[in-house]
Amino acid sequence: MSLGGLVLIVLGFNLLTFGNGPVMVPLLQRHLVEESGLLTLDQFLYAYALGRATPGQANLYVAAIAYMAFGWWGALATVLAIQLPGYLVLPLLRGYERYQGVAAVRGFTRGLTAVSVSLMLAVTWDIGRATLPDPFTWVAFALTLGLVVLRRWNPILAMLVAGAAGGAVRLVAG
Amino acid sequence: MASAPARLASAQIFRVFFRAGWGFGGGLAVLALLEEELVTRRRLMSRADLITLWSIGRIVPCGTMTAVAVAIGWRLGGLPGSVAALTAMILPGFVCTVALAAGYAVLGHGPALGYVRVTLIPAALGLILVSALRIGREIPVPSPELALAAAAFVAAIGFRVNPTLLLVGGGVVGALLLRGPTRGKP
Repeated sequence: MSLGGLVLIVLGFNLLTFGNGPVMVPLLQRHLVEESGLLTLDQFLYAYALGRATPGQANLYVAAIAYMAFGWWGALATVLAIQLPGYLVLPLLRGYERYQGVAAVRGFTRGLTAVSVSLMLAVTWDIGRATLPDPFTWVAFALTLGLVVLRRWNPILAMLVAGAAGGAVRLVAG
Repeated sequence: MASAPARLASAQIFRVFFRAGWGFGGGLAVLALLEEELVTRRRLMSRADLITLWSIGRIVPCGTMTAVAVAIGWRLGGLPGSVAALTAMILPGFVCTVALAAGYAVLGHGPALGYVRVTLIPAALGLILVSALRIGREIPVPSPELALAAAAFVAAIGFRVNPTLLLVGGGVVGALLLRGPTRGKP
């Protein structure tokens, strides 16, 4: 598979799945690992874990995949392929701003907001179920909540301090 | 979004989104940091504005935060603003991800990734929860929105309904049933 082929695949799947990183995994895995043999399964899963473990959007793991196969230029090209469709938001937003006074559009936004809150809680629930059974993770989780809500710390600082505390506890106890 | 939009120099936009780009745990963590920076600290937009942008971003066929970065960058600083926002937001994750991909031979089998799992991921989870609860305060109690939100939560967790479908469905229900003025806090 050429770099152009990879970029086209990433572009297509990204549009198809609305940029949902986890939904792209089975599609990419079939094309890149099983069919073309561009990467081994181990490499692929490592790249995916990186996307979760590093800061920022989870779908940046496609940059790691492209880097492993094609180096820096591959990483740059795929990252452009997943980011440029973001400009499609502008016409959508313009339409929204023009018609936001219309009752039905206002209602649409209220419904959208209500569901958005649920989706964020649902994601918290899902990640929590996957990570919080490990008792060590509660240290960082609870400490972050406490520092941000009760002490009004800067979130990044709170995250780093709480993370370091969790790591220290694991190092000592585990 | 009716109020006159605030403007910001591209360098400032870059700074704001670069900070947000350090959110561990995916797009929602980035959103949580953006909320802190744009709404709470700098008061450049209301919380309702931000969540509306996020909701619209959710139905654009790309990563949600990508669309949010383009939209906010464009509002604050036109085309250069949107490029600054997008580049800055991706930069931390891109550099870390590719650098670690280069270190696959060493890290792929070591304990380092296990540490990230018990440190930064749960910390990010805490931030996401804070952000969801803050945005949740926009929903009046009791209200039809609350019922809709509860139904959506059950559908997402219990029945694994596709999130995009849920959002569009919630919007349609809202357009049909929630036409009155918002009773929530401003």
